[in-house]
Amino acid sequence: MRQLKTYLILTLLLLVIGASLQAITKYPLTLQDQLKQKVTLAHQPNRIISTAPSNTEILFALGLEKKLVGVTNWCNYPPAAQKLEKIGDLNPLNIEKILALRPELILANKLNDQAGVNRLIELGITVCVLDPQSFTEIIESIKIIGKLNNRESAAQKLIGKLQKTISQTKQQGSQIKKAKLQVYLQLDGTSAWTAGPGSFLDEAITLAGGTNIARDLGKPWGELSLETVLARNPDVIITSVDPTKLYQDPAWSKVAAIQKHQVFQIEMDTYYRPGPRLIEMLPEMAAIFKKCK
Amino acid sequence: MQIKAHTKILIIITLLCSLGLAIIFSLVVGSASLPPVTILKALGKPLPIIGLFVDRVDPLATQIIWQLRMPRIILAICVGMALACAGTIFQSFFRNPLADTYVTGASSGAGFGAALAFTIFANSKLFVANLIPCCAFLGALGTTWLVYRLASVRGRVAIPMLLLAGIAITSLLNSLNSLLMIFFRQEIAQIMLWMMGGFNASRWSQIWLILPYLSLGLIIAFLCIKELDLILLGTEKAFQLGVNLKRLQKLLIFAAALLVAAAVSVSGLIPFVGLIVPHITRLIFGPSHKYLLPVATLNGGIFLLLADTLARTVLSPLELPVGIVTAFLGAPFFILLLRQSKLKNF
Repeated sequence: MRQLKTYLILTLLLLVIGASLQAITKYPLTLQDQLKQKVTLAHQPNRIISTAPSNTEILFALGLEKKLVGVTNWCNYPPAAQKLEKIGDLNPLNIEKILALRPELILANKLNDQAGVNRLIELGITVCVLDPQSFTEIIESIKIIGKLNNRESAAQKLIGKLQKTISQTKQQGSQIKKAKLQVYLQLDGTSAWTAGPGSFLDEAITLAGGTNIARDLGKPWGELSLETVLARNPDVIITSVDPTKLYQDPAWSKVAAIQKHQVFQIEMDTYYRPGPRLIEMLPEMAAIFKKCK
Repeated sequence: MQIKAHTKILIIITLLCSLGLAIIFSLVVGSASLPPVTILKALGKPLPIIGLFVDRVDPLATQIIWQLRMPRIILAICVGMALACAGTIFQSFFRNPLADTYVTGASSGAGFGAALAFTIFANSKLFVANLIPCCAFLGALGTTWLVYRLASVRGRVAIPMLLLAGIAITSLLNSLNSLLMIFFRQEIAQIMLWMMGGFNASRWSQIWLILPYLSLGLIIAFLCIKELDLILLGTEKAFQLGVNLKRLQKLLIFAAALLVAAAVSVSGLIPFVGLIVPHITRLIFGPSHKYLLPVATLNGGIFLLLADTLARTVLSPLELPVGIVTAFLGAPFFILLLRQSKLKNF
């Protein structure tokens, strides 16, 4: 009998220690969002609204979809997100719709209209604004969302997986680097709008072993002149439009990427949203570069 | 289409009633579907005396009615009134059917001020939203003053000079705006949406912010009704009849700048209201300012309120920029009236 008691106490003790080792968020909680604004939560939020597709994807990846009561009209991934209540556009935000859904936490993005975000804060709702521009900041945004929602261990697990992908790609990329592939990223079909240094897509190209031809753009996003693109003679073109368009365009015919038949179409949503999917596609990009000359 | 005096008064009463109806309509519809009883209760709850008779209401309903719909409705009416009144002043004073808030450069000046605020303060993150109206206001006043100075020759403003200077400054500012957008394409969505105009983040403090400008502008305009009528006879004739043209010019430009600044600083550049509403009113009521000015002002309020209510409900939960709705509603109606009247009153 006494032995049983000791065992019981020991098990209990172990349980308590085990529980305390597991990361548990303590509420009330105050942290800084990615605009360095204070976010305070009195208790664990049960009704969350996401005002950006990247936030929605992170929330799903952390298993928080049951608490998600509203997403934007653009939140189409994972497919289950499309069935959730819609709050309209990213900009301008529909304040009345958001308020009517009684959110306890809004996960916003720098892309949302600032006046709308400020109005929501004024109306007494907790808003956390995320603005991930680099892989480090994407990982930080996952950490913040995990912390706010008491999902720190899930966030850690996801981050660990993503970091492993990043380091593996880095390793692969360093081998590809010797080929000195000049890569042009065509983000829309009508202009030479592309990603420059400081953007997560420039980081992706570099990691996967390519050299971004827009490395001297001087800002994260901007436009090159078509002449510059042609003069820099990219070996690889990654585009959001149908590659046949480029293959048939006489202006492009002398470009190395066209002659070597190295134009690849990508799914825009994956590349443009700073969420887990962006990092998960890195091996795919490295694989493309690997078979290129 | 000349109408008798008592019919005009009847029409004014009808318009006041339709303003009331438009307000009720806008209070009832929205992305949050609230039953009419809840809306009535929420309306009465914060009021003194009446509030005591109202039992429990969902605080969310009270917040939606009093913090979202009500300030938005009032702000839309205020801005519509300001734009229509300023438009009427410009059209009558310049005796030019194309004159509106854009011609004096006021609107584009405000737009440039806002775009500048977006780009320069883009990295200061916190205070941008508060700085935009401020810069827009300074831009509107600055440009109007500049155009006015450019057009002043020996203390008198030459109207053709003013129109041309206004157009030149407007083009200059528009090209500067485009240049800013090329350099700061990341902010483009914010700037563009602001330029298209809207009321999605309306708050009471905005109403208090513009009220002094709006009321001062309206008072000055209404005090000038007689002079505006005399000007319709021609500036020479008006001068002979004892109108102090120099003083009137200064007064009216000042009033119009106040009105434009009030409108632009809280809602961006909303097109067509300042151009079309005065014309429609003139086509129906004739050119006498005794009716034209107050009715156009009232019409502007009703028109913009309805346009904004449509903008926030028609594709709900998606909110349209109100500028799209004003042009979409205003232009066909205007063309129809134009075809019927062939601009008799100009």
